Amino acid sequence: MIRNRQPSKQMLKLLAALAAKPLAWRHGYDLMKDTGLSSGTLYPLLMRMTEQGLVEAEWREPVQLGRPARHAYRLTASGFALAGSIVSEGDAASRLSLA
Amino acid sequence: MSAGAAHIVMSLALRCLPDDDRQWGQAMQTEFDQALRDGKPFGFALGCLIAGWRALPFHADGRFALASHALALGLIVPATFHLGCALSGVKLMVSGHDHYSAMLVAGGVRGKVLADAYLAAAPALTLLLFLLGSVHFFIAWATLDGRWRRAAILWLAATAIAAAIVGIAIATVPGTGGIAIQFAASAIELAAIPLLAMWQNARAGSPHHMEA
Repeated sequence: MIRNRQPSKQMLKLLAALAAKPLAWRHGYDLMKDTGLSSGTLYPLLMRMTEQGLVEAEWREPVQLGRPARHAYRLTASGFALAGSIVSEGDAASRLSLA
Repeated sequence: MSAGAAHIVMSLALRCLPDDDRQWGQAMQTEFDQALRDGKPFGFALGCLIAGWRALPFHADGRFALASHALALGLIVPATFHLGCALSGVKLMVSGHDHYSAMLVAGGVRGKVLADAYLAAAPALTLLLFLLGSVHFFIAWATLDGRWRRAAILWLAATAIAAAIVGIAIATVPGTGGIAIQFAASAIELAAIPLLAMWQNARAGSPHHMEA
């Protein structure tokens, strides 16, 4: 999916947190702690990014016995590509500002 | 903030989500348990509630909930006003005078006659205003519960009570401003209750709800 709008600051934080461990499935509460986003910002963002095909979500069995299954998230190939393009744009911008 | 309050807020948040997002609601619920273990459940639940509220205008269930709550609020405001008037009536019956009767008495012979009529009508008006306020509260409740038949019957009762009040008011209190407002309010209720009922029936009959 092609995004025409610039990603918001909150989305950039979430993309960075998810891209830091691209293969790992991350839980909502851990992402809140990592990004500093509130649940009221994180979940609508995750819903939107899942709809846009940037994030995939699935129910994962708990690590500890007796705990309920948890919804987990990770970047899709498109999400990872978007995160990569933002990082390279950022690098180019910082190189230009240093030149 | 107690865990009990956080649980209540979380339940409200989950009720704000549409049926399509039930899976996301379950996801929030499991992470809420995590926040509970971490000792920060209230902030988490409040965030989810705000997210739920912000999404309300963007899905059919949310729009219906907003409309029915707006109507309920529109019923509760006049109900509170009517109960306030009934309370003033009780005060008048206990003390035997209020500023309106004092104003009538000061208005000469015709004023004194009106003041006597006003005082004589006070018990009946007080009782009717108390009934009208209470019935409006019950209509609001029935509307939120989606019990349209009950809401319609209560609306008929409210209209009969309002008509009785208007009848007494015409005989004792000069001026038609209040009467016009009462008729306008009844007309709005008459239009709003069946409209909401039809809206809910249309939603219940939609393929989306039949699947759910």
